Amino acid sequence: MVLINIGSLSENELRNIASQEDLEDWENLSRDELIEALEDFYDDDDSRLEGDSSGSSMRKFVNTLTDVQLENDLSLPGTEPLPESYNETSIHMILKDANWAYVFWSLSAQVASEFEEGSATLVLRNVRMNSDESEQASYDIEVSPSDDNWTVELPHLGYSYQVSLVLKKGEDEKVLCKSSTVSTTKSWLSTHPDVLRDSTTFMTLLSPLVLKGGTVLENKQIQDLIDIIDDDSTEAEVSR
Amino acid sequence: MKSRLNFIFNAHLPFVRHPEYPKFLEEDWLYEAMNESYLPLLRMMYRLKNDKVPFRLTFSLSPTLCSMLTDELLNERFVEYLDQHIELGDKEIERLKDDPEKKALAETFRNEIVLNKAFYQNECQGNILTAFNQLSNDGLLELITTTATHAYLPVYKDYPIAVNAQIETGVLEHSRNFDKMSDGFWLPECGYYNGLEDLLKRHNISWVSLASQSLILSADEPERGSYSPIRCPNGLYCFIRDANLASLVWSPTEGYPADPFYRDFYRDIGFDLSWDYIKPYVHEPEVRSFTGFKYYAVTGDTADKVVYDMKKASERASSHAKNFIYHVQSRTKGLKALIDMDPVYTVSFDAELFGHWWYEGVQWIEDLVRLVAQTEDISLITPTDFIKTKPIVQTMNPAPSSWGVGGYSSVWVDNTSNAWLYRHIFKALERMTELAERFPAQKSLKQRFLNQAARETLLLMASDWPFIIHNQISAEYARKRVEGHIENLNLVYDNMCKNAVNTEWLVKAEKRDNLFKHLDYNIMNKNHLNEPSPIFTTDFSTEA
Repeated sequence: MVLINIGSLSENELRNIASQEDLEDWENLSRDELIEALEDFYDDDDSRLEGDSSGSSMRKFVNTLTDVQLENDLSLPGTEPLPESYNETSIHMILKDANWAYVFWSLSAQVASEFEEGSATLVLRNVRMNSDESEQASYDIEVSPSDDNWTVELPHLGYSYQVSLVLKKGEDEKVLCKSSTVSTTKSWLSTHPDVLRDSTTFMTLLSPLVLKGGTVLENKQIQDLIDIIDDDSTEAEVSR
Repeated sequence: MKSRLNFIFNAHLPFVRHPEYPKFLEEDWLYEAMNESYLPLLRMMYRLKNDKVPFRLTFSLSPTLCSMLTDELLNERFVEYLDQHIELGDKEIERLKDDPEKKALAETFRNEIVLNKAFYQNECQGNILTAFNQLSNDGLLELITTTATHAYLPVYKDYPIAVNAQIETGVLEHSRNFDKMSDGFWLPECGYYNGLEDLLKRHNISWVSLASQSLILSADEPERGSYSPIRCPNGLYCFIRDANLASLVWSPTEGYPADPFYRDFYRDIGFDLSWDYIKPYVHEPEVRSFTGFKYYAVTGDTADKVVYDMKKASERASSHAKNFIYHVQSRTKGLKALIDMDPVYTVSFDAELFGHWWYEGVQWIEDLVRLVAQTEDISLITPTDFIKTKPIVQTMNPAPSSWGVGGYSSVWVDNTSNAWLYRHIFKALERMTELAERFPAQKSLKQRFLNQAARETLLLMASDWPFIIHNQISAEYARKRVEGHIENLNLVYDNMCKNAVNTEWLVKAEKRDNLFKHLDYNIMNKNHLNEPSPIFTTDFSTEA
């Protein structure tokens, strides 16, 4: 929803949006009540807009203020609606950001029935790998038959990770499928705080990332680098 | 020390074309962008050219946008759109005859459309790409391409065949449209992952632009910051976006466009006037939309907006152009003791910001270019200009990154809105690859069937659909679009597995999704990656 300045919209616009979104009793609401109701309605969106100074905060294009409920059927003849899942056992992992990945999986009908009928448990295993692709560490998350996706933490930067689905029956384990590996990146600067503390380096590397309002580009890893410098300053203050 | 300004504009819209409907709401995205951004930008650059003001700017024109800009039906509909809005302007001038302030604004907005139409029909000859190409031939623009459908590549890292198909189709379409190779490549959303550079170099791409944090978060030691481009170990140059300068413009709350004197984007007669009056210029059934007739200034966070004052807004745009120059010069002064070269500032934006979102943005660029032309210590360059100087730059691996919120992929892989798509998208990619391998070198109807499947595959990868679903604007349309393309691919897969061709579907799909007419489905065969890029071997002059 494009309501960057919801308070600045006219009553006509607000009423139009409220009617499109089918807000309760919108005809009888005052302007302030309409704003309040719409703000509540779009609460999640507003939080997404706040402090968002990156490229994607600027909506690419819009020619209405509401999401039009499209009645037109765009499907071509002969096509079938998408299935809920595909009859296969597979798992995929997509990197969402530096430390988190989105994982989704499918179980074939045969595997699913084996899982549901028996005493087996299904676990999602996240494996941290060495550079030679051998396992360095792993942890398991037990998942239920109704689960088909998970957001997985990749706690240590600079390593590769691979997830797999494992069927466990007592002491026995059966690896059903494995994802491709996902690599994370550990920045060189995070391991060289002495360089980061140098004012020349700071000016050269960080100044292009400081935004107009004085804040630094929103990014957890950059914030971690700044925290290294801040911690150092605090320690210096304390020792003084 | 001299500052080098490297402006890159990304012009892109998703492929939206519905010949099955006489008028379609989402097609207006194209007409609005043409009328409010592309034509005003071109007219501005022609003014500079006619005034002999030197400049160098880079424009990425996406293959989907180019397909629509050269489509006969959409161009016909665009002229109808212009005529309708000129008529609306006439009605507005009459309606506002007792309100001189707003009447003058209505006259200006109407006249702008008339000027756009004249430019479109005369200089462009009904094809906007002609004017872009002319400016490129005049040595004023560097034109580049991007992925076929603006696919956000990091999520497809495990599908190199599909990533290659996106890149390859992009570079081939560029050569067809502009009769020259694209030296640079716009990575949609600045999305980069390690290894992508190898697929880009395969197609003779020399440079890309990356997100601001891609340098500081690299696993290698960064030496000069984003003031100097870097080179990947395989030779691909990377120009790093300067977040500081971009924020002067881009931020919706702190950037120049938020100035209270500028024209308010939201206050539009499409929403303010009675339904009976506005009905012919919006959409059935009772769907109000923007018309471009906007009479109020941003003012502030209030409903009581002041009437837009063009003169004051114009003064602000000039002042903001000077302010931008001031920021560049100040930054460069501070760098004298820090780096051993003239700094390069890479500043990239979506082209549709200028004119459409930020009405005065076109004037801001014009004023900026004219100021730079009079300023000795700043020059405008393009990435290829820089590379031609054979610069000594650092060789290193940039960090995976994008310009999206948080700096990675969370906008396009969002558990709460769009992540579910990838279960179906990935399956579709696997099926298309399987089809290309099982049925190579088909002829006639099956070849057409598979070629259309390849088009649907590229279309379903567009970054626009997950982005729109994430932002909940036109999400219903986006969901139907991406689902529709996957359904289409599934239909071809099921038919081919039964040795059948659904001709009714094929004819309708070819008629609606008619882009990339030279696309060969064998691009999705894994063996294709072992062959040299067709950018070196295709004779475009002999193509039908």
